[in-house]
Amino acid sequence: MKASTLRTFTTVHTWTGLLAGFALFIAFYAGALTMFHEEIDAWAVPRTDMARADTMDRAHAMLADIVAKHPAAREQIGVTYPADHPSHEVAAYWMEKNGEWKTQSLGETAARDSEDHEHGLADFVYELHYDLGIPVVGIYLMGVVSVIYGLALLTGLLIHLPNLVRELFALRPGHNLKRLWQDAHNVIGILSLPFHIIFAITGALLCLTLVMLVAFNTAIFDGKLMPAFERMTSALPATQDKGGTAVMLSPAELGARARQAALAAGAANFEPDYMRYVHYGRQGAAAEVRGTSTKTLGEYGMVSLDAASGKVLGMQLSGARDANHATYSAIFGLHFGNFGGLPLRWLYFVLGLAGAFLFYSGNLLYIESRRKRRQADQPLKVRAMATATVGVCIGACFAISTTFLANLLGPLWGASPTAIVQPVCFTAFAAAILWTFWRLPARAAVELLWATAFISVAVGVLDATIHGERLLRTLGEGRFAVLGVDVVAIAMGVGFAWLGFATRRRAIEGDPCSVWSSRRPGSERAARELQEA
Amino acid sequence: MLAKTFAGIVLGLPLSMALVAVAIWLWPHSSESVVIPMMVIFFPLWIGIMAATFLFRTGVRAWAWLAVANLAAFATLFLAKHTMPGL
Repeated sequence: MKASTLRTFTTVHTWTGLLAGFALFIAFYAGALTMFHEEIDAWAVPRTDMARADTMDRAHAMLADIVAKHPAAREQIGVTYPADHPSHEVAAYWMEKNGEWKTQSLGETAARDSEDHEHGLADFVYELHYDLGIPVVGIYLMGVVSVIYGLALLTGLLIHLPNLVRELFALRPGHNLKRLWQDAHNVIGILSLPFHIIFAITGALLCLTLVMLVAFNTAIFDGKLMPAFERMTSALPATQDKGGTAVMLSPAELGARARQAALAAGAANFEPDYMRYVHYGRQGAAAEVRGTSTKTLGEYGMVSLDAASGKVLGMQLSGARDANHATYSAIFGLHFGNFGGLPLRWLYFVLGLAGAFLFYSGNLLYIESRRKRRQADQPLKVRAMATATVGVCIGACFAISTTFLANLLGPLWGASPTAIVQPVCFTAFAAAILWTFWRLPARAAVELLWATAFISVAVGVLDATIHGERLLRTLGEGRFAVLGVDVVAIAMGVGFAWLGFATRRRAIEGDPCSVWSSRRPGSERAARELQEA
Repeated sequence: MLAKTFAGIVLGLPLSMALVAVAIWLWPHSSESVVIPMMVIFFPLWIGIMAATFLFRTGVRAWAWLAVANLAAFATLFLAKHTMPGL
């Protein structure tokens, strides 16, 4: 590659990294935690177990009731199954005539707006992952960020290509700290490249599916894509409301028949988690049961049935589906990492944290390569970058840990956890950024890391103390979610403390000609010391 | 540099859409059977075009060549649409 090309790609890599890095740090940190969404949910919102024998019978009755009260729901109404999580909410979803999605769960007596859901801690962390907590436009923003991330990945790979083989396992500690950071950035980038490619592509697809469909539908396919997309992603054949009335089989019965059909078709297993009726209660009504299978990349499979007779109409399952369904299912499987059980989720967790480190180290490299080596005062862009990096990245870790603590302690003062997670997180994040402006990055980094460490350890220790009885009860039942969250919180707290000590050592003992030094040779104190000497 | 960046974003987008669409139309037997796998290629293709655009010597050349490529791709798509079954 020519030197000028290399320079151009380096510039592109720097700018795309700067543009997308902050959002990606938060997305990867929150995404790593979201790998344990169910565990965090069980930890955060103690629910009474709902898996009663008659749950799905009550759901069956609720659907009939909803369709009677909301005629628009007849066209299409979906309901979730309790699946294997006893605390999983069983709720119905349908669209009103004006296009609004409504929902009603088993415990409720009336419908509500499906957007107007509670922010449980686990859901909130998940939202931070895909829209940074920004309503409406956040998800599209993250889609654009994914595209920029893809460009940063490609250019990063290209500029590292000439040295790739020679320096793959190079990690050179020593006097030249910049080279150490560069080596760490490169080795993590290259070794987790497949993971990052997956995320750049599936992230863009998941966030921008709707935009992309509309664009292709109007610009390319003359309006034929939307109906075709429905066929490409569902197992339902074309159906027709033939009028009259028909008695619907219950969700439980249809789920059982779908499972039977799926197993007969060769799926390793099939656990129904969602189903929908079309033309509910009419002649010609059909149902589609979605379920998860193991031993496949795309765990979701679908079976469609006649909702009155239970006859199987179509199937899209692992091993027995077309390229469209297989790809669509694989996009979700690869992104959510649910195709390989617990070890894979831990791998995704570690790679997610490593990804966050990748973006953080990218910012450090920006600062390091623009550092003035012979003066304590650094240029504005270097100071601004250091402030933003500490404030946003460490601030995000601090805010998330604080949110966990608030979720734990809020109820002691009578606050409902679902009401406080969002305001607490945003307030803590804003406070961390203000703190960084006030204390300057070198000190703020140490203080925020220690605060995050302290809060994270407190989350684990206080939960085990306050809810010790629950911890023991779940362990007795062979469930490790609560213990897991406590232990990981403490372990991450220890990790943050270690980072805090390392940063403090750097601030005190390191090269004073840097934004990371808390020694100020040009400052009043240094001048005074000089005078005294 | 900025001119090339915007050429890659603005003209790279329709170009990758047209290329994906042409591939879908030209796919033997059923076009509908490969729509989603082909659409997965859309973002990597666009990203690749954006990166490749930086290889042009000047911004003007980037805009000109990408415009020509767009014309060619959409012309091919037009022909394919009128001769092949498609969706």
